[in-house]
Amino acid sequence: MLPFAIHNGPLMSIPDHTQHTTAPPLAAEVAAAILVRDGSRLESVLDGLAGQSYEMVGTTVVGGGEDVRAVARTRGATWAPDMHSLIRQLPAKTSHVWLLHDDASPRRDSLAALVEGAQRVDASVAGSKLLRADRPEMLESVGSATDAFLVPYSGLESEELDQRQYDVVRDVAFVVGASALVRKDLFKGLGATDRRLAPQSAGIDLSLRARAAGGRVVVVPSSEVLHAGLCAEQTPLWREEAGRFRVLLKVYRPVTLAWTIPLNILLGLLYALAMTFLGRKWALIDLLRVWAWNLFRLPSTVGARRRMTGSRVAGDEELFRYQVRGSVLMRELGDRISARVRVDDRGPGRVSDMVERGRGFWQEPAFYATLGLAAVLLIAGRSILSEGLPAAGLALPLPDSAWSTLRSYGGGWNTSGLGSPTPLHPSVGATAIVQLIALSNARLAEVLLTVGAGGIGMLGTVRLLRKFEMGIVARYGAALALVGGPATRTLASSGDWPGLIAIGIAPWAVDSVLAPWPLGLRSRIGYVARAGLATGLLGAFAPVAVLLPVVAAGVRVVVAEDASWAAVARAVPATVLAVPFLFPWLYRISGPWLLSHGDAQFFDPSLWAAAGFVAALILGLLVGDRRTAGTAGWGGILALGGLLLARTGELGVGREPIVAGYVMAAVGSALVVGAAVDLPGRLGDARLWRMVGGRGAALGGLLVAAGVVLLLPTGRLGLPEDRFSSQLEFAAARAQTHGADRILMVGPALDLPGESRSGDDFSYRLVPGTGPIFPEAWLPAPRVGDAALAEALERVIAEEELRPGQLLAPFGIRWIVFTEPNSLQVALESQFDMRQLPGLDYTTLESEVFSPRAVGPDGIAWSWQRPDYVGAGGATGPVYVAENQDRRWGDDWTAAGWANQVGPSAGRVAFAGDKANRAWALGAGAVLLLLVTVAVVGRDRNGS
Amino acid sequence: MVLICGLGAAAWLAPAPEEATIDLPTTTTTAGPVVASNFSNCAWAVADDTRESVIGLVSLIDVDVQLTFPVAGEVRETYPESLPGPGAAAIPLSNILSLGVSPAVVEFTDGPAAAGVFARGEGLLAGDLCPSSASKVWVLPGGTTMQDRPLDLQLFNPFPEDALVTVEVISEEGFEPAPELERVSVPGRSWRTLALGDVLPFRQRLSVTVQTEQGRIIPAMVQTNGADRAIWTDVGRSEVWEFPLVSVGELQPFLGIANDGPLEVTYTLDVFTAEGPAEGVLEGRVSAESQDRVSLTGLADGSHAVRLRADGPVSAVVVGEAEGQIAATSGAPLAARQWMLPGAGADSTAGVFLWFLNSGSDPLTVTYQLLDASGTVANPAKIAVAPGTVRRVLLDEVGISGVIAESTGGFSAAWSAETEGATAYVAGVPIGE
Repeated sequence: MLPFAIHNGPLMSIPDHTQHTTAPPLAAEVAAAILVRDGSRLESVLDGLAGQSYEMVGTTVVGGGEDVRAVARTRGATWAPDMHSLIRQLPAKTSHVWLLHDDASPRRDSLAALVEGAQRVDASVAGSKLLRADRPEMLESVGSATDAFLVPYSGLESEELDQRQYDVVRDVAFVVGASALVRKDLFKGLGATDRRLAPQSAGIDLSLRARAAGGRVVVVPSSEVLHAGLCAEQTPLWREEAGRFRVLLKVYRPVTLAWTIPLNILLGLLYALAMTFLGRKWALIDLLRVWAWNLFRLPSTVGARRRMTGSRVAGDEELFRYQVRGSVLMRELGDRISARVRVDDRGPGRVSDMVERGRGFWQEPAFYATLGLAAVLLIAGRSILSEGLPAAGLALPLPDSAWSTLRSYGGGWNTSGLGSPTPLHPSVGATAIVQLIALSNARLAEVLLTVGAGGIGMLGTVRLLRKFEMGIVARYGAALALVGGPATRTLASSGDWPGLIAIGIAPWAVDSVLAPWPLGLRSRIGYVARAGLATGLLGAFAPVAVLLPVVAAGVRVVVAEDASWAAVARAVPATVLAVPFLFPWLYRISGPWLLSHGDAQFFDPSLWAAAGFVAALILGLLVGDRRTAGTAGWGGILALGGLLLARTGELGVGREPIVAGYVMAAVGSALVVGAAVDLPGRLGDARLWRMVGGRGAALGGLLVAAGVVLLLPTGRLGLPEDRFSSQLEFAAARAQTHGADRILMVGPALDLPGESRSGDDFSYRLVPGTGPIFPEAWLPAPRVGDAALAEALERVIAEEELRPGQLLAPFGIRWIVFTEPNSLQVALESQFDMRQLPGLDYTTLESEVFSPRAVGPDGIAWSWQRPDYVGAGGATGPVYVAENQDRRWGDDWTAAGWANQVGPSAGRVAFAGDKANRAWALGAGAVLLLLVTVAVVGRDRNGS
Repeated sequence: MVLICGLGAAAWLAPAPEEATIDLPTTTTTAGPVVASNFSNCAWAVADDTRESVIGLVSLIDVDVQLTFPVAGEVRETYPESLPGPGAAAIPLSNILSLGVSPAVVEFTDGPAAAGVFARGEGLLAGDLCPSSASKVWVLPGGTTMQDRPLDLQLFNPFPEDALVTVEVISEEGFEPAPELERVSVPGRSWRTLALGDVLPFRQRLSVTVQTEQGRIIPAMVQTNGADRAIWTDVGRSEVWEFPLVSVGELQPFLGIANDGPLEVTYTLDVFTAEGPAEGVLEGRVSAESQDRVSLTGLADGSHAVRLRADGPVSAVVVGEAEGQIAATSGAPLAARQWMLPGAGADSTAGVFLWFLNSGSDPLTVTYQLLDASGTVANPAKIAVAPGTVRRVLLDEVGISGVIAESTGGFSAAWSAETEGATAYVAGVPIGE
């Protein structure tokens, strides 16, 4: 092949790489072209050019306004309005064009090194090594690879120092246009750079078209240029993304486009969706901009592609040679998600090729293990993802309005049962905040809280065990044990959704106080804030579990030789900081109530799980080395202590301590499993009995972790099947114009949504006709209305009432739903004004009596718009409100029996609020914000 | 290791909760006093061209009353009434409905209060109290389907839901399988009459058990003899039954006893006359799930009462028969200090007697108030009842609607009405303390 050929009209050199050339002479005639974007640093660039050791044939300033033109004239440089003018103005003898951004500052020998390097390898495009102008010891770019979708992959670590580790001339996918030497004939043949593209994508475009035209693109690290990076700062990210898509459309052949375009769209969508929650909240909007931008410029893209086709001599495979496999965007997502769990087993200063480095990432076991966990989580939680939270136990749907919940939480009316000013459980506030963040989307918040809790629980376990240098199988096995272990499964099966979320947070709370104590006051404050935040979040879902970090750290001091009391000392302030998260709920309850109120599932692990755990624990203690035995002992005490606590229901211990026991047992058993599974790898040359024991322990641990398999068939992460969604939809369907009245649900306590009150041989509770909701899961202490309802039910059971519908109408009860037969249902067989609704899942009686929750003097019902009541247009009072009496329901309040009679304001009846509760809630919110802020600001950048 | 073992052992020993079991309420009711009953179900009342019924009401306190008449699945009529306390009312059914048989539900806004039905016509006197419970199982002994003795079982379902019942009949032949009586549907707010004589004719002694499979019903036995009728219902099970009223005029009394329990029951009859008691005059046995019929004729001369004592709970009813006459009523399961006798005196054409039995060992003075819709008609009357004796009092006051009787000790009370060729027995309603 001739060294030169005519392509695309203009003369363009096509080097023949098949002919080996040696030591070409430095005969390049270089003209510099400064691409002006900002112009503020133009003088500095011109100074840099003036000082170059390699003599140039001229300097042209491209772009900018009159001021730029004036500066160019003053400094003896020519000026061209655009690239095409530049090409026309280039001196005839010019052989190369040195493209420079106006924020670049080349070192004195930059051009000489660039010319020498480019000519030595006969490159058509050669880029300099870019160093950060503000910190010249740090690398910005040494040429880059891309993926098939042209997303750049530099391979550099964040803030990687230049230790000349990349100083070798080599082929790259593209060089940044901040400093690139291009053969003039090629430059002309390609039609210069694409003026529509942002700086980085312009570099990709030029490099790829040059390679497709048969040119060689290299980086010459010996040519160093300081780059201020203004071009990147001043360019929106989406412009680069849009530019890359345009380049893709221009350079690839149709067969490549056939799969890259749909994949690019799909990956872009996935990336944008994920990034919306990973720190780039406008990612989806940006994606729309990318598509719109390219759609608008499609004609020009098609034209550019046509011109490109004329100059092409190489196929797409030539481009693929310098690309990394897979998707850089997905890799970035993986990085973000797995950054905290991924093993970085490569030491600093590696000199491997960037492309190879990219391939190596995918081969990391931790990456696949994380993917495996994600797959397990997705399968185990698929029903929740597709259908939302099943309504059972305390796992109840979030209401439509997060704001209404927060109003109730912040001193408003607790709508549970017949209502109360009593504060709501802290988990209600926490879930409402999450829902608010999810733009009040209840389904999304449920998914985030449930599946998210499983995910962060597993990641937290992996992270916690990494601290103890456990192997990858041990860490991920422990993660499975946390989610699939007997404690989590038992708690979940009882529908204790807050407890399940608490288990997900617990490893982070424990981890937060075991992390190394950082250097520097700011980092230390941040450390404590993070520990307080993690403990507070744990406490919000399982209040007694705020003690877990202290207990865990204390137990560890007792059993592990390498533990110190410092962790306990750090856990104490974390616990203290977590306490405000429990307000205003904590303000209104007593200690004995906290410890004895409510019921929870008795923890009775299955025999196989117990056997596996005992084997893992005992053998782990007997044959383990210092580290594994210490971890096993630590976890064992936590697990057994939790087990003991979770089995004390019959001794009068209430729900909150029992749930804390479950949380502790879940974390403890995960630690035991981790230690046990790690044993075989640590006993390589031990005696036979120890090796056998170690394998036995590992087997036991894996048996516990295998419990996760039991979560897979239902896809509800162990939560029970839905009992109160479609089963209660009849109420909404049969609702009158004012909305659905109340439902009295009757049955065994464990069959009812949330908490319940005790009747004769049954339990009962009220739920809204729209169905039970999570904020109403906990019943406040009985008040006068609750006593009246209990008395009414006793009369019905005694069969002293022939018209229970009429009796219950003042309570706003229109329906009675029986989950199981009981004495009330038997008694209601002889009544006069309730009819059974046929064809429903539960035996349901509907009252024939008008039973609104609130009614005006005209007999017209008022609608319940949680937590307020709203009258039809122009409705006036006084209004009977079937909520427990409280004079804060209105200015003209009078007691109507156990209920209220109030004068509405502007057609609305609203509870005025409890000032103390509101103050406590606001205080808790302020502490939350403060801790988040301090935790972020005080983050230790070294990651310690 | 020690700590771990200790924790494990403690956890292992922690008490597990007991398996929760739900025991549904017993399917039969135990006879007891009215405490605060707010309603009564009158399974049988009749008003047509030849017959008239009055709904008798008695209340100790001021109450509003509502009578409801479910017919063919709907509430055909309601009738409000107010009563002073104490007071009584006798509401003629024909003033409200005149459709023949018209069962009714009587609701009170408060209690204690009670209702009863009293029917009259040419050669007809019949009456009974209206029960205020709706048991799942009803046992009604004392029937017969001999020739010219039509026996109807009235199944009243005042409730909205349909009921499904199975009627088991035991006669002198033993258990009588009758497919027609199995899974009988009684539509809600309606009633159904089963002519037992058509299904099981020529049975001398017949005891009926109504098992409710679905919903609830209130049954009543309606036995016809000539133009006269007797109605009675089940008021529960008890080991002791007192019958202050056994025989009026020429009626030949007998006791129908039913044992629906799984064990044989031995019983003893005590007889009380105006002179004193005669305990243990008769003994007998009723096999498990069986019934018996005991003639009371000849046990004593003149007015007398009987007491049944059994070693297990039984149902019992006293029936008096003569040519073309019949009367029946359930007994009193306990001795109470206060009794309501709704409807007593409501028929001015009949001779009405109040019957008081003091089966205890202390002398009593029974005070009885004659009541009408305005309250007490006259000053309360008093009668001394010696221990172990029965006293009969002729009610010569006309135009009253009911009676309340009370004493310082326990006694039992009933009333009877008698005209030429017709008699009615009506039990009193005890008031709990």
